[in-house]
Amino acid sequence: MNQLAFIILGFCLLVYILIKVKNKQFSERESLMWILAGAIVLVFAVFPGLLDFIARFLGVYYQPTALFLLTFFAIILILLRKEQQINGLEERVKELAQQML
Amino acid sequence: MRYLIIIPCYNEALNIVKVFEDLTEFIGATRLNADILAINDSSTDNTEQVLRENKICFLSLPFNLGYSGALQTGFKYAIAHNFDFVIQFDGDGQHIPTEIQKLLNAQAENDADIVIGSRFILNSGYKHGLLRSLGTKIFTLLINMICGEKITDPTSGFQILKREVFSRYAKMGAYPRYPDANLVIQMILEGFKVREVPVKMQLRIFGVSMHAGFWNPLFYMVHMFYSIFMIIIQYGASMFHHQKSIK
Repeated sequence: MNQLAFIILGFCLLVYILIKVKNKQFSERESLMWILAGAIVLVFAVFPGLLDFIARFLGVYYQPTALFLLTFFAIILILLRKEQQINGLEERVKELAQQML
Repeated sequence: MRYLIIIPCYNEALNIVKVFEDLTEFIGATRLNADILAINDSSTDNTEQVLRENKICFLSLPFNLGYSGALQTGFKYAIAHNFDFVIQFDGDGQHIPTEIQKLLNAQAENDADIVIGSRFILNSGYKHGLLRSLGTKIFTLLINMICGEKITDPTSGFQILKREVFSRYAKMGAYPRYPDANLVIQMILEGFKVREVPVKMQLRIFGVSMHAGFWNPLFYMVHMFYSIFMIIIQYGASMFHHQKSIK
């Protein structure tokens, strides 16, 4: 994929997230993290040299692998956060249900 | 006119009785037609017991909703019980009941929708940390740039709200976690009349503030900038009209 396509993709992602927040389809607090993710994609698209640097720093010889590694970690972090939030919500629903008795 | 004084409390067992007594004294002296409602935000200390023992009217939330969640509960109560005004009052002893009169006067004079009690118009003797006072200055500047109005203390929780305003807050699905500069900007852009009046405040007597520590204020600042940025995106057009109408 050439660089321009990558930049357009990153930009579209950011705009998409902003529209979602504007229409109040997800909370401001959560959107901050997604905006950050969109911005990182855009930064990598504009400065591909950055990925080179990170790959070398991590000791990864094949650049895209470094990208996959980073993405994988980011997704794991988001998943963990969601898990934690679902847990909290379950507790609250239980608490509410018990108070209804 | 019926007023409801709402006091969000989280672990304020040591402060709340004094706050309640001072408020009752003020209401008695001024014959204000006001009720007091404490909202116990699932405190982990014996706040609920203290409220009960002192026969203070209160609601207890089943889990901690945070300052803004507790406030919103109060707004919903005010709607359900047909109050005309809500007076937001902190449970930590920071706000001085007799200062309510200044807010009431300012509201009556200007027919304002929101009156904010400000610590910073006159030197009220209130001391802020360096980081927070810098933050307040930045937000005052931002409000001025976006709305063309001067609000010196957007973080003040000492406010009087008209029924239209608290009805709007009560129904807001996304009533902000920190209802400060972002909410002031939004309400001005929606056409509500916001006024400020100088008041005295004192430092909290016992306990810690929700803005204590290093990370909390930092997170607060980031969140607030982002929140204001989102309001600019949402109300871009009305921002333009509002500034034009002021000029």
